[in-house]
Amino acid sequence: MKRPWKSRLIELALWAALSVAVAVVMIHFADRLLPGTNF
Amino acid sequence: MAFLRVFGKSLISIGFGVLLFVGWALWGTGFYTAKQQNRLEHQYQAQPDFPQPTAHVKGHSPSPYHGPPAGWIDSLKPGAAVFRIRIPKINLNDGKGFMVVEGVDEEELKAGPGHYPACRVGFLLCTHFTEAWPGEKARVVVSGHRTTYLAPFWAINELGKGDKIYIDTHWGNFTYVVTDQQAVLPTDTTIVRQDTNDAELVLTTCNPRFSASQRLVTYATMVTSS
Repeated sequence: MKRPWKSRLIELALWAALSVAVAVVMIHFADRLLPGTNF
Repeated sequence: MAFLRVFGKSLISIGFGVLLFVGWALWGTGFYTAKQQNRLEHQYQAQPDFPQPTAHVKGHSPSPYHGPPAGWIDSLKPGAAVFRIRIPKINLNDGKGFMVVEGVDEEELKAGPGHYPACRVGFLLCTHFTEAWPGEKARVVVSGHRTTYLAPFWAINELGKGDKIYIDTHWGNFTYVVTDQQAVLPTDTTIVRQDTNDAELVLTTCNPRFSASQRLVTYATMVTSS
């Protein structure tokens, strides 16, 4: 059964939010993730 | 089946998140540095020029070796704009050069290349040797990012013997020429030693690109001063 486009859009937005959340967490810990002081 | 679909989509989303982080590290950090450089340029322009040295003996030209006044050095806080570095051979910052900041801690290097300071209040990474400044008969050390934060020293490996490095300061303009380049271990701190009788400039950065396993050290000697 074909899903309505609104449902697909909401799902896509949720996955995008997860991507952004992962990036934000990594940026927050960037000083520990990136090697050295003048990398 | 539904679980596998959700799990797969989660991994794809996390992957995109990692790609966003890499994009931020490589290019996004550059926006921060560009903004800081703009601020530092204004800070630098607002400072007055220091008086030029005069000859000790009448009729003789003044010594080409001279640094900033001690009072100014003592007033410097971490991250303050101290001088400009230009390296035409590698078109440093599209020819504009970079404002160098006082200090080489992580926060300072995010704004631009850093001048290695003597140990004073507020500086974590510092040398116990006497602080050296451009124009002085001593070894001036400037560290900078090789990648990320506008990558000031990205192409520094392209420098060869004889290439010129220009330093513009409030106490004079100095030209250095590259004499040598070598990769050393990050634990090798001999570069900050003041065991020289020349006016030297040493640029350090990480090596190879995207790694902190070594430091690429570029040595230069002063040839002109004005």
